[in-house]
Amino acid sequence: MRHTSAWMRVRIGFFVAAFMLFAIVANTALAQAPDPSDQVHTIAKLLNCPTCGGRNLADCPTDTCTQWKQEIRSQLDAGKTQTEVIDYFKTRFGPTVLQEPPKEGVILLLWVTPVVILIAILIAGVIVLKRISMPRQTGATITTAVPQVADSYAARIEEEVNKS
Amino acid sequence: MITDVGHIALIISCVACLYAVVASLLGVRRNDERLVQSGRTAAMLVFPLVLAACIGLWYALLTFDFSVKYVADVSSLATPLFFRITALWGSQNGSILFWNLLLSAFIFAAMLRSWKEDKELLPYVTAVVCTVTLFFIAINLVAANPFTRFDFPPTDGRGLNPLLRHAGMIIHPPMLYAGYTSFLIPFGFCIASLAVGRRDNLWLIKSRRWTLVGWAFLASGLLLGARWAHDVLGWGGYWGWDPSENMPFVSWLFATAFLHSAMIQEKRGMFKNWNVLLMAVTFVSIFFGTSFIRSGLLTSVHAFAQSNLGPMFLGFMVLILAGTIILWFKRLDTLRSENKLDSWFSREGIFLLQNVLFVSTALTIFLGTIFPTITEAISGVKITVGPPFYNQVAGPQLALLVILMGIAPLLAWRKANAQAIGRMSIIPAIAAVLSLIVLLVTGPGQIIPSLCLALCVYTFVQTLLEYGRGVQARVRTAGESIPTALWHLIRRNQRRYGGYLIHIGIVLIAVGTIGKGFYGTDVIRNVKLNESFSAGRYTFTYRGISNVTCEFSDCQSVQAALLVTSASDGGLIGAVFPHRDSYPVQQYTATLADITGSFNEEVYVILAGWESAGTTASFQVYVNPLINWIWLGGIVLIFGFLIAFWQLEPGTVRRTAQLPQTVGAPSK
Repeated sequence: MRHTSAWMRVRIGFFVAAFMLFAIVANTALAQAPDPSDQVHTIAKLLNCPTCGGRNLADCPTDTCTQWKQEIRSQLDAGKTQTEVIDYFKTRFGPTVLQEPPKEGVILLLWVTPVVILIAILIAGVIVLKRISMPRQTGATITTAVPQVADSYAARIEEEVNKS
Repeated sequence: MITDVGHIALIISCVACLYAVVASLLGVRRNDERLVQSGRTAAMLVFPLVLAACIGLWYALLTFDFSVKYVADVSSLATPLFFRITALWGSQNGSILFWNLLLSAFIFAAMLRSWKEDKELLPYVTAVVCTVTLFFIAINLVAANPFTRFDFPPTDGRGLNPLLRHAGMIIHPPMLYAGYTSFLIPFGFCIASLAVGRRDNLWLIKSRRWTLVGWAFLASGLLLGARWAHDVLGWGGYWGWDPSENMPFVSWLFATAFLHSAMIQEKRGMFKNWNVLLMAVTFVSIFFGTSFIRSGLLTSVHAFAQSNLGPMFLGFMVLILAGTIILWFKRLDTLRSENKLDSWFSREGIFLLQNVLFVSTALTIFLGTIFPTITEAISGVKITVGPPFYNQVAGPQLALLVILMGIAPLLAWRKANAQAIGRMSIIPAIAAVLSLIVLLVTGPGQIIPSLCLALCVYTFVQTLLEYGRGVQARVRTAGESIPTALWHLIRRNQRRYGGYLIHIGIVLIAVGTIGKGFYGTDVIRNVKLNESFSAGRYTFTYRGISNVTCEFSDCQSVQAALLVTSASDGGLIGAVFPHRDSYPVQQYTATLADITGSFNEEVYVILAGWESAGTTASFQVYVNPLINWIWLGGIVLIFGFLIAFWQLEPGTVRRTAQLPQTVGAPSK
């Protein structure tokens, strides 16, 4: 009995896995890398559009963006490298033209703070829970009925799952 | 005339709100039940009054009453009937009125219920929700009045913002607003419980369905917003980490954290402090989000509703926050945990980790959103926090959450069994490893997206197996057939299995974002008439350009035609007709894509420009693999929500609605 049910689970698992694999592979197998010959496009992806509020230059069809892309084109034609072109835009318009905020100066704070936040909350959470996990020495312990898993059926499944 | 009646109704609703607050608080003080009940009645009265105000504005919109400034701003003689109706929330002043309509409707519904078990909370809930509503109605009357009239009315209006003329935009704001406003009710319960000083879970249980509804509305609002952006903005994407997307997303993350940690309080009587804080933070983030977007402090793709309301909103928000924190400190003692933590390796332990991740992701996104404003104010440095920041910092945390989603359901409360978990992970792990190998060998070979997809496979299979295990147990113990067992399984615990379905929806959305984010490509090409170019596995041939009739009478449309064939064998796939609509009055040009391809791979073509009457034209083609999985996931998510929300078995409802004192009693 136990054997057959284990088999069933294996079959379900493989069926599902095969399904997922098929769907994902069918797609991504043929996906191709962006066309490297179009350097203007590559650079435009890294810059912000001045008129499209937050979207990158390559994804924005406004006239100003077209002019900027022409500017990139002419600079590349003049022999500048990708970094030089980006630096040109950065010195001219400031760091606000960059899609990715540079990791320097005040902006470094932007990159560091999330890590600090994550660690701080984690530590705070652990400390608080640890305090709870210590047996309380003082004061009467509140002995409200423990709201156990009231559903006997759920408990049965839990048990079922743990022993099988 | 009818419009003026609406205006007067709005003024009266303000008075009704004020009365509800005063009567409720006075009723508690004097222990006068009748006064409390009259406060409740006044709170219920706000809804019909605000509805009357909306009808007044609708009347003006439908009758082209351009003497009303708002009507002239959002409609014109050419605006079709449908958009004149939805123009109610087409701009700032009207959308606040609509916001008030939703607020008051939710209050009406909340006040309508019996309040037998939680009578002592009633006056406080009334006072809190009516104070907030009073603030918004007052804003609507003083600073953003949609009923203001011109001295010399124009003969025609400006017409609705072209960006908003889209089905997604018609449902998206109401959804988002409904999500936002429905959190007022659980927040009211939370504050009321603090004010009364109750130790139990009454507020959680009584407001749980409201939270769930708000959560689902926020989720669908976000998804519809993504769909709207995808369809209307002509950029191939769906999510740009724009402030007006980030802010609701932040609130949604807080709300999701709350929904999960509330479970711990219900089951184990722990995390009480944390839950109160989370609810307050969720509500304040909603408040901050709306005020931040409307304040004009930042530029955004759809910051069409800018104004000087910022300071008022911020002031009121600080008031709410300060009040909540003071109350919270005063009641810290009543919120003490009822149980101790037995083991870190337990459902409680993993829920803590998951809550930490949710909150830290939310704070990260929040930081990125407000950072440009801060740096500009402090150091004068202007920066843009674009998608790369969020992808690098929030991305990994969201990926971790997807893994936790697969593991957490396996961990038992109190103390989990590592061996059992190992055994239960075998099949999903095999599936994940196999997918990883296949992706690396046959796919484009990028390691990070392949890993992410493999993790999605793990969680997907694991979640399906949760159903499988339940069904199996039923088949074995009750001898039911598999479909019956599944049906009974879900009916017996709709919250759990609806929740798992939501998890599956989230995994599908994750797969979609990975597909588009890592494997999506785009090319831009300038071609002559009848010239071809290729993108991905598709070849496009430019067949010409022409003027066509625009959908709306106040715009001109130019449409290009391209033949799409397969790049490998030249077989015909179809034709696409991307177009550009220009609106001379609003000085706006909409670039509208045409879409082809398959469900698994969307091909999104836009007309980027043309020269000399169309002898040459440029096109941008986005190949978006798996993007449709996002919309599919959204549908699954909503379906899961409905299962969790719509409890069919009356027993389930009663059991969960019981007071904690009686939960220990045996169920049937």
